[in-house]
Amino acid sequence: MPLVKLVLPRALAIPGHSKEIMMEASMLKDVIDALISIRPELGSKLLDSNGRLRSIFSVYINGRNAELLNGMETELRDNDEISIIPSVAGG
Amino acid sequence: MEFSDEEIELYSRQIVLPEIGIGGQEELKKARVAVIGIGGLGCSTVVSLAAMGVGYIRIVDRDVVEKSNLHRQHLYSYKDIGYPKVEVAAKRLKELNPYIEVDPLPIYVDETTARDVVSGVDMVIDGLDNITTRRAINRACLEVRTPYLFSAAIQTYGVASLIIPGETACLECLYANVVDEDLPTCSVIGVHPAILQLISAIQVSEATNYLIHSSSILQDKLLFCDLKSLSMEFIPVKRVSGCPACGEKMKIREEAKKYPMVEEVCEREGVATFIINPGKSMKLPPEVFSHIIREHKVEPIILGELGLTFRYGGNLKISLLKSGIAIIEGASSREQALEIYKNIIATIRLDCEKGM
Repeated sequence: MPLVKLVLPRALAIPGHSKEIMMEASMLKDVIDALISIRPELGSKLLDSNGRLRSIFSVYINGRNAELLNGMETELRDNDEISIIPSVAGG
Repeated sequence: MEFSDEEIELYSRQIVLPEIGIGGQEELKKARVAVIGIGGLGCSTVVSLAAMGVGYIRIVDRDVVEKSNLHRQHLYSYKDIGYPKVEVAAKRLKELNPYIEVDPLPIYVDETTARDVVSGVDMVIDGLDNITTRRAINRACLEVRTPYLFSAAIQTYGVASLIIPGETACLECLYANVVDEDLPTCSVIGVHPAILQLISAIQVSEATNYLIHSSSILQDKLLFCDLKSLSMEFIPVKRVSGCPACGEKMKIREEAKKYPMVEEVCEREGVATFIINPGKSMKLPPEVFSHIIREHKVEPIILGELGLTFRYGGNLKISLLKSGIAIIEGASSREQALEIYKNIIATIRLDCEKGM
């Protein structure tokens, strides 16, 4: 299984973990599931009732928005970097 | 381009910066920017750009000043409540720097008007508060190939990225599926004035840098700042070929909307509030506001150059801007707001035909 890096902003960082987490994952869904297993409170924020990514967060795979790739089914490769940050629209 | 002694004195503390110098100051004087939205973000940004001597600043906003703005929108004060924001801002900015041109546009920005408001400038700077309007601005900037400095903030955090059409990721590459309905608003979860100041400072620094040197740290990056942890993080971002705005599969434009349109916004002072978008901007004659007061016996609250705020039918408060936008507080429904608006506009048209 590919070894990938999950990068979180400090605001979402998991207590006791670095903001960069290495993990094995073959698709984006594996990364999101792993994150939710550590931070269950993020589950309903990250995913809708159909298991699709909600837009309150934006997810990037090597800088490309996952929604414009293959969403949760986007396949990952070794050294891929996944970033998750809150979407912001206020001003 | 020459500067008067007065201007040299005015800008002296920034001209000595190696990043600006006299050459950079000349670039700023030649520069033309549009700041879309002069609320929490835009207020601070336009003050700095004006004070720094950016030669032409177009300010675009559809709203009037309200009490809940004042804690973070420091261009405005209590006496400005009810005036169109662009009118107050233009006056202040001209007082601040008489050597620049300020162009106030009280326009409702959507896909019908976006192209006009971003045309003829070197850079568009984001002071907006929603994604729908940003999408229209992003697409218009792609069309006219104008750089767009996207920025936003809420609670204690904010983001920024410089979009260069055809080169960097555009707003829809960054925020592909983001819809306003999913996102919290500052009226619900709040916004710390300091995050607005911080993001605004970054806008000013990067915008002036780009105007002078044609480069910015925010190209190909999304900056995420959070006051809680005093952190600044950069996410490298890239164009995506599947982007509906700048990619290979660009979506055909949506069908034309039917105007006037009604938007329900957050309650103001506890009453339902509706903004009427006339579509194409109107140019109501200058004498129209005093005519409405005189002939139709409405109770004026504020009579400005670009708008009139008045009591109507007992419990309604209406702000009518010169562009035809109306903000109606106290209507019971969208339908009622639209009906009131149509009546007012029909009366004005009739009066105009009669020679007012």
